[in-house]
Amino acid sequence: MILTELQVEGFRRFTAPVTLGGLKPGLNVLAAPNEAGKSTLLMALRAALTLRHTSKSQPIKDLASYGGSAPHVLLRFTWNGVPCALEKRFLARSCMRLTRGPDRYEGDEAEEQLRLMLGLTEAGRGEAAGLWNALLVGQGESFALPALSEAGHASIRSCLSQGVEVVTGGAAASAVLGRVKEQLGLLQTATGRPTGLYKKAMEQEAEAENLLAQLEARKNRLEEDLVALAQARRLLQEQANPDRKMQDEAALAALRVERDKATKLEAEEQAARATVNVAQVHSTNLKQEQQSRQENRERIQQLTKSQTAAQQALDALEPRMQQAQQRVEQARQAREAAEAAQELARRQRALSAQQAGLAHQQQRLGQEQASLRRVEAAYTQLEQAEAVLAALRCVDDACMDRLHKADRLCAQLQAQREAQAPTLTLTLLPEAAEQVKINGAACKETSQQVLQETVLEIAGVGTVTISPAQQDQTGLAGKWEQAAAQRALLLQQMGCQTMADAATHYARYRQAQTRVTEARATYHASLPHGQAGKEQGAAHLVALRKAVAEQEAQCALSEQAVAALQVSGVAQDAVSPEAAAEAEDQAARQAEAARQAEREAQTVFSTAHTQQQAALVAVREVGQALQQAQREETVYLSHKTDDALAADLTQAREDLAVATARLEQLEQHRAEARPLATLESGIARYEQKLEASRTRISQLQIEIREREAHVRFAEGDGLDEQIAATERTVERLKQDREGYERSRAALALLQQTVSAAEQEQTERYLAPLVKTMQPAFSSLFPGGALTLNTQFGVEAITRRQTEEFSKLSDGTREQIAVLVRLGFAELLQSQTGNSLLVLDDALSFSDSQRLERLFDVLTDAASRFQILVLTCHAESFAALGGNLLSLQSLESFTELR
Amino acid sequence: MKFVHTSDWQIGRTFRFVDDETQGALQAQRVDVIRRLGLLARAQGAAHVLVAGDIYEHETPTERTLYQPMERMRDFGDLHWHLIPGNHDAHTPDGVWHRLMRDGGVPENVTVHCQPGAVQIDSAENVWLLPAVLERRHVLTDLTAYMNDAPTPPGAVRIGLAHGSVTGFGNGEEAQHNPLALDRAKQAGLAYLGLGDWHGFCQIDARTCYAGTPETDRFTTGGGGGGEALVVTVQGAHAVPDIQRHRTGHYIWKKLDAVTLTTAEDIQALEARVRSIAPDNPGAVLAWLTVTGLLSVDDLALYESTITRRLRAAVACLRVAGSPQLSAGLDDLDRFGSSGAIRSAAQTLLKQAEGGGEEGAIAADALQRLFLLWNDGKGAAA
Repeated sequence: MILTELQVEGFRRFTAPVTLGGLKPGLNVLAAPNEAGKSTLLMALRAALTLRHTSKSQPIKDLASYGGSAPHVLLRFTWNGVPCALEKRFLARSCMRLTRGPDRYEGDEAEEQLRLMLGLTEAGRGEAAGLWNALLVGQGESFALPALSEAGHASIRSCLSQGVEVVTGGAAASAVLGRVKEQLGLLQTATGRPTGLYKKAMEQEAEAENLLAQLEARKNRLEEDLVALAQARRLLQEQANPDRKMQDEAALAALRVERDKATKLEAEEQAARATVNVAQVHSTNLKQEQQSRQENRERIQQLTKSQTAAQQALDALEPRMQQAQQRVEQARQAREAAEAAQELARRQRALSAQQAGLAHQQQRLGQEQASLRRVEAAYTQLEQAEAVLAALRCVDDACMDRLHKADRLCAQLQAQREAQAPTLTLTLLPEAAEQVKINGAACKETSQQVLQETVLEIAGVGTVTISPAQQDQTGLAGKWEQAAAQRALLLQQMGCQTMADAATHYARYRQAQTRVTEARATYHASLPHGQAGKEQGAAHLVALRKAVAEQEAQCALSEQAVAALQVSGVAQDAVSPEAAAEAEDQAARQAEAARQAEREAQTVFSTAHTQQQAALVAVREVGQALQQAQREETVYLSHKTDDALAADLTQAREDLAVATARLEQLEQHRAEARPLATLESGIARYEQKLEASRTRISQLQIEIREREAHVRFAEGDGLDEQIAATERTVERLKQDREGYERSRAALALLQQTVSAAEQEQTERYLAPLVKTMQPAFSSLFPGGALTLNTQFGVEAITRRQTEEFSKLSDGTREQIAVLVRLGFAELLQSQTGNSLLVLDDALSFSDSQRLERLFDVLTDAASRFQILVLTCHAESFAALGGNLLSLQSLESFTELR
Repeated sequence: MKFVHTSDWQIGRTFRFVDDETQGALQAQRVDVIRRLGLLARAQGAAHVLVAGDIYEHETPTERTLYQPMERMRDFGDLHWHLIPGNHDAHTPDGVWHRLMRDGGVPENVTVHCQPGAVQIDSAENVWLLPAVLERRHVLTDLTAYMNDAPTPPGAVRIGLAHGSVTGFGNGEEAQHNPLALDRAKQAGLAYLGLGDWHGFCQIDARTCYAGTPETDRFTTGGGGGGEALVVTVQGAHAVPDIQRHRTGHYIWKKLDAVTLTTAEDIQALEARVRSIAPDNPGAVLAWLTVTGLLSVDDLALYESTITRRLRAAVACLRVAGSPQLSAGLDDLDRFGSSGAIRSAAQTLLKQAEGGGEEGAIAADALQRLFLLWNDGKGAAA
């Protein structure tokens, strides 16, 4: 198809006619600014090719010009080299004309011819659908993959099946599948839920089953009613039996008569029993009085005897009382004497004890005093020894140690000096000794050490001064002098002149110390045990003296006590404590014996006194009782004589016998009759029975009426017949439903199987389409591969990895979508020799490099079929080249007349 | 004395396997047969029609069903109709007979015998009817036993009428309910004993017969197959009665078991067989076919058109149990072409169908439908 001219009038902004002329085979470009009417031209082209001229649908109305004139379009094109023209006017004065070479068509015939040429089918609302719709790409549509109608699919399949020998029956499969879907759609929804007749059969079956259940329930109720009705009728017949009622009423009347008689008999019996009771009481009273009188008389006699005996017993008790009293007095006196003797013996024993204690105290005092004297003597000796020791200079062991040490030092130093000193040895004649003096003193020794300058004076000779060879070179002389001075100081402190003197003092001091120690030991030894103390010697002595003084005071007190006891009349003779105790014990025993005797006498007296009192009481009581009995006797006699009483008693006994006989007679009658309670319960039972029967009859009549009404209602409905009819309906509906189920299962399986087969086939024959698209695709995406789905859409592209189409960028998706449409056009061209691609404002998101490649692809494709590019980006699309177009106004629209 | 013996009208009976239209027609014929019985009696000069029970199918029929037979009998005022209850319409309290009598629905020329005992029905010929009366659906005693001792005047023609199963007639289990002595006629000195309950004619002995239902109501009736009434002529108390069978039924019920179909000829033979049941009036035929067999694609299509469509429309009711199975081979699949989606789908379905079982049956059904759709498609294309 080569489009050569497009005239438009009354389309949206084009109120006046315009033409797009100069169209040539290959690539045609209309570059115009926004709102120049490019999209309107595309709409007009689409309307001319796909919209029915008679349609009044909204898409048609939307095409109308702003001025209100009817949309009018004219196309001139060649179809397989044959020149054609197409004119369409929509809405007002709608018309269509189509010329193809010499052929000319108008109206609907022209529409049909056009659709046959283009392979379009009716898609509703006056619109035709097919693959051509995908080749006229409007503004914004290039971003999406073409949405193909079933006719579009069919067109592609048609193209593909012509190109692939092995593929046959694709359209047939679609047709079969369509019919299967259609038939299945009558039975189930898209989601598989029952619908249509199938659903209706299911619902009707459920309804019928429900109705059947209701009918059967009613039938059951009817049968229950029938059973209950029969039962109620039997009961009513039984209850309403008149013979039975009469029998019951007669029985009730008889029972009532018998009950009245029994009631009367009971009253008479009660009266008779009362009479018997009265007679019995009267007779008993008289009998008792008679008996009481006899008893009273016997009692008077007995009491008189008792009174005499009691008086005699009282009189006999008097001497015993006096004797007992005397014995009591005697015993009291004896007891007092014994108690006085006991007291005296007690005092004697106390005195003896005091005296023995005093003697013991005095003995101990003597011992204590002797001990005190010994201690005092030892203490005096100790004081004397301590005084001697105190009078001596203190030359103890320490002083002596220091002195001996100083002395030994002096001697050592002296020895050293002497060892160093020259020895002067003189051998003198005995007579010469006086003449020779050494340092002024006579020379007594023949040899001595010269420790210092020594002057040897020899009478008559002169003096010889001998000096030591060395003048104390080592300082020994100084040391010796120091030591000697120390020794001298010590001696001075000790008050001694020499070492010997010191030794003497030391011996004396030691002796004095020994004596003090001895005296102290003596003193301590003299102290009583437990008082020895090393430090408080004097304190012990003082305490001892105090103790002795206290004992002396106690002795004095004891002596006073003894004296006091002695003055209280106790025997002066000293008696041993043991003897005194013995005497006291004896006196005590005697006193206790006297007290016992007194108690016994007292008991005897008390017994006698008690007996006497009892005898007195007995005499008094007997007297009173006797008086009482005598008074009663008087009263009896004053009321009624004994004879009169006896006569009354006889009469009373006769009355009782009469009343008892009457009572026995009545009781006999009662025993023969039925008990009143039984009669009453029998009457009540019959009354209740009759009443219940009346009530029951009434209830049964009501029940029967109700049941009969139920039965008549149910039988009028013909329940059994209805049940049979409903059972039949249920069965038939079940058969229907099962039939539908079988159909559904078969159709679903058929659909599934045919779809699967069709998909498999489609995938096989998609290969040529992919092959057709692949060169253009490879130009744009070198090394890439396309994957199409069964709906001829792009599923994914594979470059380094597979990418889903929906996840690609907008620009890439648009480029691919354009390539797909290009592929469709290519396919259509190769199979039918007629194709066309119109792109309106496409590829505006592509980068310059991709755009360049796309231009190459479009240019290449345009060598096989016509491509019309509408764009507002004149500068970007300048590189595309092609035949540049422009819109031109027309004087008037060219009609195909 | 000549009378018509009939029984088991079963008015109100429903038929589950027929469509609503046929059901209505069948029910209508059950009522119309009363008219044919009346006409038969008139034609044969019989003054009495004895109906041996089961006049009604249900214990509680609708008002219309209840009154329909009564009104039909009322139309024949010159005839006297004697009815006894059957097991379907036993004389229970508040039952059908109670309803009719209570509401005055029984015409004067109709006598419902609700009490056992001899009743004179023809004084001229001294004919006495001894009815057996079922008061429950089932009884275990022989209700005809009383007939042995039922008094009738000397020389009386004693005719028994009962509903039940004779015992010792190869029907042990059935005869447990409502049993009847096999030789009751002999025991009770009956000139004739008319029985009901069995729907096909059956003569027990020279004096004892089941008349069967006057309008057949099932495929398996047994005996004479039903659709008949008996015209009985009794010449005297001890004479052997003359029993004549007369066709009264409208519909012909026929059951054809084990019909095996493997070829187109079998299908055509089957059609001919069914049509031959009543060549003049196939619309009165109810046929029950039990069909098995394997048919090719074309034969199956033939079966569908010949039997399922045409023959079904020709007869009153065509009840088909079972169906011939599709016997398709790879050759049959060639009609889908040598390749393509449909051919591929058909091959898949054929394989599944050959697997058998429930799934196989569904696959066979699907394949059959595919053939039909394909043929229809071709027809549409043509």
